Amino acid sequence: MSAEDVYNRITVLRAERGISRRDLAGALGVHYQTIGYLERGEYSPSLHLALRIAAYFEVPVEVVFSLQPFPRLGS
Amino acid sequence: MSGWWERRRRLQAEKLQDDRWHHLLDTRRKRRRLAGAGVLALALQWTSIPVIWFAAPSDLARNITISSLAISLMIYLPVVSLLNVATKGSTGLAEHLLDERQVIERRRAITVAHRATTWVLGGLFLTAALVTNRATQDTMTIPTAIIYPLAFVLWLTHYVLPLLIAGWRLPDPPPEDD
Repeated sequence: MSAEDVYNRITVLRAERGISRRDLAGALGVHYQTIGYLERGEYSPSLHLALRIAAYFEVPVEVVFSLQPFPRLGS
Repeated sequence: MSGWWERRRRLQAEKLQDDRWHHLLDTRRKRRRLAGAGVLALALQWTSIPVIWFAAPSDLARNITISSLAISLMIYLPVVSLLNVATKGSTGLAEHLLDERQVIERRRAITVAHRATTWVLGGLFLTAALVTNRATQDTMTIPTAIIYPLAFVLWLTHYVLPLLIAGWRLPDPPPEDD
């Protein structure tokens, strides 16, 4: 893990709510590939984008983003 | 800014989302080959400079310069179009048409390109210093024909390097899962 890694649950939240990458990207005003890079952990969003993602899913930002890996479901 | 200009830019941005050429750009290896071809086109442009310096004015210099320009453009035009599609216009479009990741990508490419053009200009400066130091007289004759190609190749290098660098560095796009 590099010192700057930020983990996120965007894929899970998106799957849970049946939202496509393109729909999420459209709602946030970003390119759909940006959502893919975020999900793969290859891009860490700005604070502004992170807060907007959390607001979109109507959850606190720490539910979506963490500096520690999220525990796997069922573990 | 006029509405016409803004509409044109937005249309350009939409065209760059075209996925028709995706199969030519879907792996880093393919994009790096394209960027390499772009560097080759640029290098061909640079080869005309020493040819003009040493051989102009002559038919040989003219033929080599025109041929290298023609071959270079045949490579350059498709390569630049495809790289613009691959990078989704991150180096070509106005910043307000890009998202934050694309803006960061663009700034990184411009930073690296700036460093590269600094070396190019430094090399040119050293060459000029060497040539003038070796001159035995106070004045020297420089072929007039070198001015336009040199100005053009410097402009082209400055213009296209950010795109070539962005194309070279671009990670593989995430697969479509929807």
